[in-house]
Amino acid sequence: MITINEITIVRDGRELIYDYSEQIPAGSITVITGPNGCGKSTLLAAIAGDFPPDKGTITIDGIHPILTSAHDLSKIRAVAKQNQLYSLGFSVREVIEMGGKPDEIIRLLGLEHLANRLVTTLSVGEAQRVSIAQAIAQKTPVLILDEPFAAQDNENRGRVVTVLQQLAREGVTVVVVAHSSEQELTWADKVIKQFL
Amino acid sequence: MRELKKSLIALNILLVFVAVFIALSVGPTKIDGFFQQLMQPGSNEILWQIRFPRVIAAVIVGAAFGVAGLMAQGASNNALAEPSILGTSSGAALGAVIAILFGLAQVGSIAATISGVIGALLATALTLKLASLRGNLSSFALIIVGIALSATLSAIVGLTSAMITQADARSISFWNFGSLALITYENLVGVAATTLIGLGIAWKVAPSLDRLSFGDDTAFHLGINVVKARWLALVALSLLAGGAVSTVGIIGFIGLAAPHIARFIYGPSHRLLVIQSALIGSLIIVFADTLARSIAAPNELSIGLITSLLGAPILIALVSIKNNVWRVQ
Amino acid sequence: MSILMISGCANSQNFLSKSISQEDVTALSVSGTQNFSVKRVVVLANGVAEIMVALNAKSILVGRDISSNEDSLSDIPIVTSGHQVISEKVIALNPDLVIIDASTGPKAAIEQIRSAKIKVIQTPESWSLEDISPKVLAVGSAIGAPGAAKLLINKLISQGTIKQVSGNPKIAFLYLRGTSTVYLIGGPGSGADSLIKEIGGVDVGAENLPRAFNTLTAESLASLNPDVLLVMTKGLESVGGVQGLIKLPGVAQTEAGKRKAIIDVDDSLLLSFGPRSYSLLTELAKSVEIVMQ
Repeated sequence: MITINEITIVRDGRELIYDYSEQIPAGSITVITGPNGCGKSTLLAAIAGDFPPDKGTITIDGIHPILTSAHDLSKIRAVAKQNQLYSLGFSVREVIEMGGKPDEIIRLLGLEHLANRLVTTLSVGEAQRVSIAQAIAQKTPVLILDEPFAAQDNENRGRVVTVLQQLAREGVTVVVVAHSSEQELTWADKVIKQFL
Repeated sequence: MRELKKSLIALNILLVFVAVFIALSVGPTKIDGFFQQLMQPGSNEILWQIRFPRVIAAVIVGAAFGVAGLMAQGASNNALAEPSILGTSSGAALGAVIAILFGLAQVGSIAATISGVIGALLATALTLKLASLRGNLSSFALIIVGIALSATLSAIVGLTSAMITQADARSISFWNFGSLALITYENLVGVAATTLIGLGIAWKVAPSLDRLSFGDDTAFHLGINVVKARWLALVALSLLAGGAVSTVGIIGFIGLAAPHIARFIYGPSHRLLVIQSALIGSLIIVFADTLARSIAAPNELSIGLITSLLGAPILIALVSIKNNVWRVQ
Repeated sequence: MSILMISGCANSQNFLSKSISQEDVTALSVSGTQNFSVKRVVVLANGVAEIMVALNAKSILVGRDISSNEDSLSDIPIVTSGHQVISEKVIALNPDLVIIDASTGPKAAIEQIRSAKIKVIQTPESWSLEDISPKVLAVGSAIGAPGAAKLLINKLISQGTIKQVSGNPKIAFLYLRGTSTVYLIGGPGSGADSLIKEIGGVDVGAENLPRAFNTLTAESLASLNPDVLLVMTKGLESVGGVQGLIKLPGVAQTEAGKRKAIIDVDDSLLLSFGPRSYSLLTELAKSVEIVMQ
């Protein structure tokens, strides 16, 4: 469970998030949605421990991400960011392997045909799925995904949703940021329409 | 795949040995009964007192410059980075020159090596600091600041070395273009130590550099302490480049060429690249130095020139064959 | 006590190196006051100033180049920066004659001096004993004292035979600069080759190398294997003296390096080829004998 307690995040002198509290339950998929620039991605980054909020606290199962070492944190939460870019020519399998054991997730996300491709040659959507696969391969109790469907067709979108639902059933806390144009959020257990 | 990697490493180690053998057998002086002399260390003075330390120095500094370039590129996640672009090399030269100016050290001594390493570390840290004054480290700022700082430090090296009246101070051309001409066994101690430690740290930090290539945030999400990893890589870079520069001067281009050539052939995994950049760096410098002292014999040519002439065509050929190893964002 | 000292000397292989300074040589000269055709002379050619001193014409010498650095000239201002002539300094001395040779530069500075209506005369360079007489005559003629020049020449050629060293030792002339990583070794026409030949030595550089000065790898020097190294005093200092020189790879492997058979000669003296050169040859031959022992 992720507990957000009265946080304020200031960006460029503006209070992007003000005195905000929320609870994200374990074993479920929570979707944060809202218009561009409302601070969805910033909130995710704060949960991931990238930076401390200006006020308030965030805890994952009672642990403060910003007080936890990078190594320990990587056992607690995994993150797939919105636009993962690859500069070095690792193979897809190698990249996923840097998260954890690759074979199962490659199969579940239908990445078999890409497994030996270099990540530098992938399309935006393919690169996005590789980054999701890498995060899932970390096998952490919390999984954080920023706009995972932005460049996916329906088939791949379905595959990702199926995997996320399976993970939630296994007890993983899944947090997803989705653009407000995402109409069908039926697969989500909880939808947070943020900061409107 | 793993077997293939191992045999490629074995092949390159073999190539280095062949290169060393050729380098020992070739030179302005013909050595009678070369094989017998080679079997009896110390027998032939030209072979054992002049050629041998020089060839060993070529192996060591080739590996050092090659892996220094790899560390520079990995730590900054920038394909153009190398010790002489990040200010590392000129910082090392300045460190060594200052130590010599104050009479604390001679070229090739352990004291000069230590001050070279300190100069390298300070200069590299300064480049990174100045390049990230406005928040995130940008590739553009890094290269511009690095080149500017290198030019500044080189100028100070020039002015300082003109002031030095101490014996054995070496000229600006030594610091700028490098030379292995007057290497003795004594000179090898310091640079061998810094290179070994540098290679060890490079090996240790290599997996983190793989992940740093995804960007700082993703590397952090994968469990990497980004600041610590980058510092380790910079320490390795400074040990490698600082030790080599304080002993043989700045041999440019090899730091850029060796890791790129290795990456083209063996892929981007940094553990593998630590080994292969070292071997390719050694190969190029051993061959370049052999040519430098033998093609115009008995005259001595500049090693820096030969290194560029040797490395550049290989790099250009590889880029034209295969251009997807490093995608610039 | 004395026994200990003697045995100590005998055991340590105490090879000698030798240094030849300006005080060790004497310059030939002619005496008597002379009348010269010029009153203020600036000398920008190697070795000309000392010829003027030998012709008793120091009184009309008002400026000199940096290579004319004999002790007796120390009160005369230098008008070059490094080896570059500074025309302003020359013109400011208000000379009525400037003497140059083929090596004087930059040419633009000489042109500026000429355009200031100052008479410029070029005298021949000297790279061997044979070159001395024509040079002395040219200098004497330039300052209007050809008679004195002829007297000096007669004195020079009546010096008799030059002392010869025994055993045809192999000698190499190394031009040392501590800041350089390559050896510059004298070959045919370096000047040192003629000195070495005059005393009966073999210049290994001149015998084996193509140019007057050659960049040389350490192992090429080792394989030339000279018995004696001839260097300039300041050059030797720049590599840390004899101790520094004999440690350098290349030198360390030669007979000369192993036996410390190093002879250093004052920088302005060695290749000046003028009134001091005969005396220098005598000292050089003596030094070679000493270091070869």
